[in-house]
Amino acid sequence: MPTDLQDLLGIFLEEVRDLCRQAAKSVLELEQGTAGDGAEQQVAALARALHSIKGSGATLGVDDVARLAHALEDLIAPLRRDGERLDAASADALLRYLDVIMQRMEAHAQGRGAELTDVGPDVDELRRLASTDRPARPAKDGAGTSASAAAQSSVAHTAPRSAIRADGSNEARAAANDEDAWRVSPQKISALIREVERLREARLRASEQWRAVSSATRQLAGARPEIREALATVARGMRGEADELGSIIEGLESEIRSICTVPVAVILEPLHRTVRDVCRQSGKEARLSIVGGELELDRRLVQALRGPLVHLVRNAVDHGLESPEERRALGKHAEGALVLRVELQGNMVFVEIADDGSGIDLERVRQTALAHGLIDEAAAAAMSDAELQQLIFRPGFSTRTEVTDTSGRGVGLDLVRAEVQALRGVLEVESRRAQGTRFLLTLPTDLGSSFVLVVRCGEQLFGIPMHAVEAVVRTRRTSLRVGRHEIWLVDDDRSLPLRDLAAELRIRSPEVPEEGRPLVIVQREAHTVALSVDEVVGDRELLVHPLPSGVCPEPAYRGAAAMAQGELMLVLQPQWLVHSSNSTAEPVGATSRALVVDDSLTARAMHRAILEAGGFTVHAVGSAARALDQLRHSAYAIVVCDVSMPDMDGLAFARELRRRTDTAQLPLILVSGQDDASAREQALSAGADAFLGKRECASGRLLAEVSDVIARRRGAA
Amino acid sequence: MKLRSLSEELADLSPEQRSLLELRARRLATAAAEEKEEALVYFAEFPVGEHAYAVPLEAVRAALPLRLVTPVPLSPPHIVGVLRFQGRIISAVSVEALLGVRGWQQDPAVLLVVDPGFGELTAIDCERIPVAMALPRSAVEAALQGSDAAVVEVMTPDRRQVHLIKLGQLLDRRHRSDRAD
Repeated sequence: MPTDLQDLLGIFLEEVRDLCRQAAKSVLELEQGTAGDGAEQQVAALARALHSIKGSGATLGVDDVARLAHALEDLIAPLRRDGERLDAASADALLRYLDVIMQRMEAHAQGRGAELTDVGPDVDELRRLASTDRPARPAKDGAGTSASAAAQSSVAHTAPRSAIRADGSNEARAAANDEDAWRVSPQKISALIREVERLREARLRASEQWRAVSSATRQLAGARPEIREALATVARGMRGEADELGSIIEGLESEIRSICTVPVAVILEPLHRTVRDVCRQSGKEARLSIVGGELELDRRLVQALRGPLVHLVRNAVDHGLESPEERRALGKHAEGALVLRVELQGNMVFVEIADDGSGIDLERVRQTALAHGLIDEAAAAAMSDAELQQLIFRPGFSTRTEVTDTSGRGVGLDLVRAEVQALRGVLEVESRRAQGTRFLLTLPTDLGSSFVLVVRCGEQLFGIPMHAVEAVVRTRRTSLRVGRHEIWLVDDDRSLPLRDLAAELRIRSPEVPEEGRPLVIVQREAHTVALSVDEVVGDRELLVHPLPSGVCPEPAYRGAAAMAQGELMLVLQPQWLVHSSNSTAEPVGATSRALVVDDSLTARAMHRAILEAGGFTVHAVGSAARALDQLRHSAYAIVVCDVSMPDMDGLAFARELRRRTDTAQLPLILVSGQDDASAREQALSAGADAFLGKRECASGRLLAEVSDVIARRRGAA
Repeated sequence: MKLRSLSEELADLSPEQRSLLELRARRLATAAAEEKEEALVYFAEFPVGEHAYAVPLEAVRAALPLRLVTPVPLSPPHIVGVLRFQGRIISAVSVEALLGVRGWQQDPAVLLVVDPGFGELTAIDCERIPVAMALPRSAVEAALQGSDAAVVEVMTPDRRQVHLIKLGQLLDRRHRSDRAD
């Protein structure tokens, strides 16, 4: 096939896709009678769409598509001519053959037109339907779907992209030859976006350097004025460069966005059809409402979301909603409610699919998992509700006892989760028995960034999304009300719960903030809290990516963002911040607190694993200096410290502990990679209660040593 | 010396000598056939404490120094932290913390980026950069089939005991359960 004709077919394919989408929407509205006074316009729109497909198909030589479109025009002729209502059989036929048109068009665009079967029988079938006397009755027969008025107002209509006209003009050829129309591969766009991300990191580094130079300049109070002025000039220049970089990045992102984005409605709108089809198959009733369809998102993301959303919506109807009879018996409306909401915050997309159905039957999930051998009895008995909910994502899991067209094969939610993970996203589920289920997809886009307030807690920086930050204030002790279990900040005629962010993150024990300590007022979903932090570093514009699954069972993090040197900073989830409220309090049954001091992250992980298995709540720090600071504010039953650390080693740390009156009796175990007699002697001389080589740090041995040391100190006290 | 053909040489052999030669020939032919069939599977081997562990070499994507890893408060103890790798965020996991700490010689300072087979790369910690080694496929398959555990022991040809890690099974715990093991 000549290349130019192939190109034309590719363009026509997009045109047909849009037209079929519009036509299907019209069919659904006409079938349900929701078009109201606009029924005539909907019929006209449907007719125009079919006419466009017919004309352009004929022009480009895809006669099968043209013939099908013509036959469909005949089918709807009575609607135009006599004002008849669209019956269910005609609606089925229209929707089915719109699908056939799409499939045939895709085959032609891919050069597989010769493989297609003769379209004659399909045309004959449509002619037969068109000539059958149809009863003039409303289409809805008790099973079906409808689109809400709210969804109508919130869904953006996508205009046809090409200039193909039904009158068979050659404007299609002209459009293909138009030199302004380029084809760019997705890989090139991805490469461009990656370069923009590198630019963003370069800008971040430039900003950090400007801040460093400004800070150094301020500290040079005693230097000669001309030196300070020269440095100040350099700092101003650096800031200017950083600002210009930022401007360039914004411009680039804006242009890329205009190339790459489409309204998310292009994949949401067809879901009305999906709901309709599943309802007809299952005998259920459902109404789909869409919020946020007008948002424009990266088209790769939109296309990739199509499959998962179809599956989740089908799952919601098939598994989530009860039958109309069951719903009436429960006092619910016979028609189930599905809500699909899309929201964009910075560079994070949130897609929520919620139903008001029966919720996940956890006992049934447990029994099904046992029956399929996915878990054993012991594991089943020990699982929490949250863990049981996660079983629905296991491959092969299905509570259906028989296979239907919709479900039962156990190939479903695991694939959806895998597809979402492939997009670097996260899929979560929440469910309440008899009330409904909510799936939440969180996905990053490569475009756009999030403004984040950077704060420090202990050794680590964290980000708080700026849209959730109401204010940053300084602690005034006179504004605090310290109760037995809570601290309150009394501020401007309101009382806010005050929490220590480091304690919420289990970095250290809760502290009453001292005078002047920064407090970040965070507001989300009508809840407001005051968070005490060690330092407010400033605001940054960052690209936030979700964390890998399984990293943190608590929904504490929105994701992580790359900082100037490539290191990651965790960005906190505002919903978690306002609701955390002792949800991360030290576990019930934890006997004591242990402090691990080691500059090695991996060693800290191993010590933590051992001590937590022994029932301790573990705080870990990376330096002796940080440990000494932490010991001023928190009480610990035991300290396990590495000997080899930069700056202050474990021996100096031990001597310092023994020098201070508040820590002189604190049980201390020193550990070292060097475990000879000399090292042991040095450790004990420095004031350690025990010494272990790292080779000896097997779980049982360390815990035994810890118990022994604590007991000895208590006995001596 | 006159050169004689093989058939002339064989004709001079006694029945016992002929029988012995035939036996040796059969043995040599069998050994060659066995050698041809003994395929090897390649692993990346690394020490943790006193023990040697190995992961399939085909699953290894990179070996990195342990740096720029961000710890994640509230994460299970086996999660060392998260880091960036080729533009994506991956988790770093402590093998010892997952399997049960049995002591170590030096703090693991190498991260081995692996593909466990469920769509996400993960980094596991090692005390040093792994070395490649080969094991007979038959021995590997026998070890894997003989146990459902995430780690199985296999004897190397030079009589060393190596612990083979089934990456998907070991690391999939975090997908099965949100609690720490």
